[in-house]
Amino acid sequence: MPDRPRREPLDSPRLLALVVVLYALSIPWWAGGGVPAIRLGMPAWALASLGFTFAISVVTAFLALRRWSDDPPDAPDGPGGDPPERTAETAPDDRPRRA
Amino acid sequence: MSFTAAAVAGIAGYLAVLAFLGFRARAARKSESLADFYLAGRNLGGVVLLFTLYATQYSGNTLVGYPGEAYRVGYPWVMSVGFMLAIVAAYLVLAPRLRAASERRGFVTPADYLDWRFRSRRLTLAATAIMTAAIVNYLLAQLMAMGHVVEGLSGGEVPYAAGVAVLAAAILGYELLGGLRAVAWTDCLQGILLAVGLFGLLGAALLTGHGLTEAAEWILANEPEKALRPSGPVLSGWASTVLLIGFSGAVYPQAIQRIFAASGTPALRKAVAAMAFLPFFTTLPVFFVGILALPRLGGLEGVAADRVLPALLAGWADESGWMFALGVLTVVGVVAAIMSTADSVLLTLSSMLAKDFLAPFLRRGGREAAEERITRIGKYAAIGVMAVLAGVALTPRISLWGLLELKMDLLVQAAPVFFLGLAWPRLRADAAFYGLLAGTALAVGLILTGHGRLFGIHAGLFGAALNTLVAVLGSLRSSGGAGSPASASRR
Repeated sequence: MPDRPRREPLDSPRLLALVVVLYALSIPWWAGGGVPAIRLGMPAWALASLGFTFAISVVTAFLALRRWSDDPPDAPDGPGGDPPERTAETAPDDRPRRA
Repeated sequence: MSFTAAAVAGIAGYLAVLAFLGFRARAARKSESLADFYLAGRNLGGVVLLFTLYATQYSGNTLVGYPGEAYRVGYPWVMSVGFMLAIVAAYLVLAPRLRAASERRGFVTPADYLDWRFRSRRLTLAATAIMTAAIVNYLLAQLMAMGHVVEGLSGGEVPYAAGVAVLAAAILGYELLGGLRAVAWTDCLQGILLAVGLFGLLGAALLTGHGLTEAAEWILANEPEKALRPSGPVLSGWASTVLLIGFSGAVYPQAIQRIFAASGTPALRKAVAAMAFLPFFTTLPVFFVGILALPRLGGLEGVAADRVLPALLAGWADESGWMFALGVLTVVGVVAAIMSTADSVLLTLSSMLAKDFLAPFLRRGGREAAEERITRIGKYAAIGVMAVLAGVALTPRISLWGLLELKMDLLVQAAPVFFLGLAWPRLRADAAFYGLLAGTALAVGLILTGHGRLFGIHAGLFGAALNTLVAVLGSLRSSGGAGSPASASRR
């Protein structure tokens, strides 16, 4: 019996990679030196960092709402459900089995 | 009425509401089972689940310590929005599988997951001991924060010891009455108070001329190092903090218990989605408060900067009736935030002590410990823990920040058994156990020898890297062990 939801954020590696890239961009290593311009009441690099962080929030919320299924874990597979290999990863003794 | 008198009256009113909610929660209980007392009958849904997750994640330190950090560090502290969000991002990996597993097996504490996944008593005990040590530390920090905040906000009229004793007794009272149900309901009240107070205050401050642009120009002219692009060590420290807080915050035992306590996956994933935006409604306003304080309260050094929020509140309260009311609301919200974190930690701690540490000995004596009995033992454990920690908090020998830093470096050592354990079926119990020991020893060793950070990176992350390496290599090398039926039979 599967111990995963039918669909979960780990099934969307590109979106998870996007979160990692956005995190890397939210750290202002890319900003130039010198006196920063002030934009919307803060240095431009800080505002850009906040912008990237907000993008992470949007992707995170999308993954939680659209890439995480509501099905109970012991629900029978329906149309378009689990790929067969997924259920094969669960051990008969009720724990994740070694690959 | 002075601002101090109004704030103390507001806190007294809040305590009266807490007592009422405690009795209401007791009346709502359905049984004396562990799930009913510690997980509110696994029936937390919608708004209550969101607020209780919120209260678990945002402690008093967020509201008292972070404005001080923004004041000390300047604009680089905008990192606080990202590192609080990192906990939610980490939930995307952790929560779906943990929830799915708990739905079938009725987990109550994190040790129930570890027992099921690894079937290794020593690994469960070691990981639970590390989590317990970390959250004992956390609870102690909250108790000390309660004393400092009450003393600071009352201008010394209410002594530190009275703040600790009265608020600790109040927490114990409603928690023993209503368990997680009482805790979650009070979390809702706290969230509303805080949101209205903090946002209203920031909005009012900006509208009355304490502009962000003026503050930025003042900082550039007078303390430019706080507005320039951060240097190399600050950048590596930024990345390190995102990783440390993300992975350790996600495995707070009290947060894990809320995953178990959700009424269903729909409620949980909606709460996680909403949580993704909460740093912009909590951490960001708090960051702005610290920035706005720089031109207004210049010259505070070191720990004095931690008084930024009370000082600003008292100053703004003199400006208008609205600012006065919002200031009082914020003060009560700050006290509520600290209390709501402390009550969540205390409840989780008592459940872990009773169920994970004491219950196995009861069974070993030949008598199956009934759930009702474990719940009762948990209540005694809560009284004992609170008494001991309040006693320690009354004679503090370590700084607040020191306690909090040590907590995260410890807690992150428990992350691999959850993240890797859920995502990688080949992870073995013995490899995870030795990884846990090696990582914890390295992190604690580095901190004790004065190397809390190397090249800006936290000692806990070096420990977690070693921990993960040992766990992965050990699992790859071995052919038998925890994943095999043989190890299951050894249990």
